[in-house]
Amino acid sequence: MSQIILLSSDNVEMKVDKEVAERSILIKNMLEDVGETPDQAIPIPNVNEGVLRKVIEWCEHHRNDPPPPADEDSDSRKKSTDIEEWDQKFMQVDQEMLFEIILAANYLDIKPLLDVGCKTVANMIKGKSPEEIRKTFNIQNDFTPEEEDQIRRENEWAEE
Amino acid sequence: MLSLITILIPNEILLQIFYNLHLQDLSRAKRTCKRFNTIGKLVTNLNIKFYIDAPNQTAWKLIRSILADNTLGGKISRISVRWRRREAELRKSLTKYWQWTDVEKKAIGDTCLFWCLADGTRDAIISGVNSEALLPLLLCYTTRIKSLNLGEVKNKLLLFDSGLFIKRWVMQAFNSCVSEEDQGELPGQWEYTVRDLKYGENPQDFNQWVIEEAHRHRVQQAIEEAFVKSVKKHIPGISRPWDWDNYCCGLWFDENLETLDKSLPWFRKLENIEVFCRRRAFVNGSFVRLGHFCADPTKHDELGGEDSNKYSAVEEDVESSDSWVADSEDEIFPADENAW
Repeated sequence: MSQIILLSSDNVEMKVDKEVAERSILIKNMLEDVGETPDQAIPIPNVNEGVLRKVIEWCEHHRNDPPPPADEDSDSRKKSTDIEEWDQKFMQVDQEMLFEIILAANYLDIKPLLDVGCKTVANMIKGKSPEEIRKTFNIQNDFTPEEEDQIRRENEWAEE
Repeated sequence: MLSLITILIPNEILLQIFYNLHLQDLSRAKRTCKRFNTIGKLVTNLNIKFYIDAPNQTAWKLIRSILADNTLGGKISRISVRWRRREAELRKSLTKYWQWTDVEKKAIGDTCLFWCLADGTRDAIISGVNSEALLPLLLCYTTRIKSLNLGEVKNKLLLFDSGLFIKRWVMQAFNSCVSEEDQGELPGQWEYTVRDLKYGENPQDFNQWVIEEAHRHRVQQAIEEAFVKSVKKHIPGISRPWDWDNYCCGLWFDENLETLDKSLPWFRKLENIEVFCRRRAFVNGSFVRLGHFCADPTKHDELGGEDSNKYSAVEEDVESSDSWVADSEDEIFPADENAW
């Protein structure tokens, strides 16, 4: 099993199985372009050591997952916020780490991980009132009372 | 304190997060701050449930929002209709009629004219009683609709345990829901009750009983007539034989079917329209599925049975949680328990 070396933004080298690293479409395409397994470390400039370790941990666990269906247009996007148990535990991190993982997944083009991340955040929004959502994410309410009233009325129809 | 989601998460990822939300959660997220509202508005492929005559009047509110925001209709891709008719014995279900502003009335009139909706449909929309009449109007705005599920149709405007005749309070219940100008005339005979009548000296007299019964019968007939007259304003003019089990048996949909089919281009153009409708048939009381708008008629059969569920991705049907508990502070109907 050939291995490659990834270099985090804070200059930490990590050895990973090629197969695991190729969960990232960005790395996979890069390796295909290069043609042979490189001896040098591949720099991942946007991702620090801690986050990269988490991402690799996820890729290790999901190394044998079947590839996602190709024809994933936005229509068939499932809105189910069900997350498998291992992923749920994996995502039990603080908000900063959660967002960093999402950003890394986005940058490295690991769609299933990005999905899990987005679903995790969606679950943090689910079932909450606007005020509770603000509290959860420290969001400043920047509406004037009039605007707030207006938006509330605009969205009333969606309340069941 | 820092808001990490604000600092770290770019708009396109926020949008992706929002795509994982159900409609209700999305609408609440939009109310948290300007950025969430802006991004939330970009979410398309909305799956909506259209509640007919629910106490919180969401169907009317949806049309109001569509009239105010002309991009909203185009974001709706799936509609599931749920029927929540008023029930005479359930006060909280006796939703009052909906009132439009003059601007809205004009917009509704214009749309009906433009898309050739029947005058009866327009009048029913303006009357604000039967939200079923909003369906054809809604479909004029949903230019990207993929699926329409008409659900289990309840076409009675007011549900009640009919027995053999309509009680006075049923009509009172009905009238409490419609505007004064739309209310039917209460028949004069209502002023009387059988007890008020004084025929002859001997109350045990058989003839007396016959006369009272005849009178009671006339009063009932008058009430029934008034009720039908009153209801007729709010139901489609489908000519089907009256029968008390289905005393208002048309669907607004039926009435507008032909015009909609011909005039709404999105029903013809799109390949993958999935339309199904469960509807009580007159034979055997079983359900038949109708697929009027399916672009490809051969696909009708495929839309049957359990398959229908797989298209509604956001079916989180908690039938118990909606409906009557919603809001409804309006105790509009003083139940007249003593009548009759």
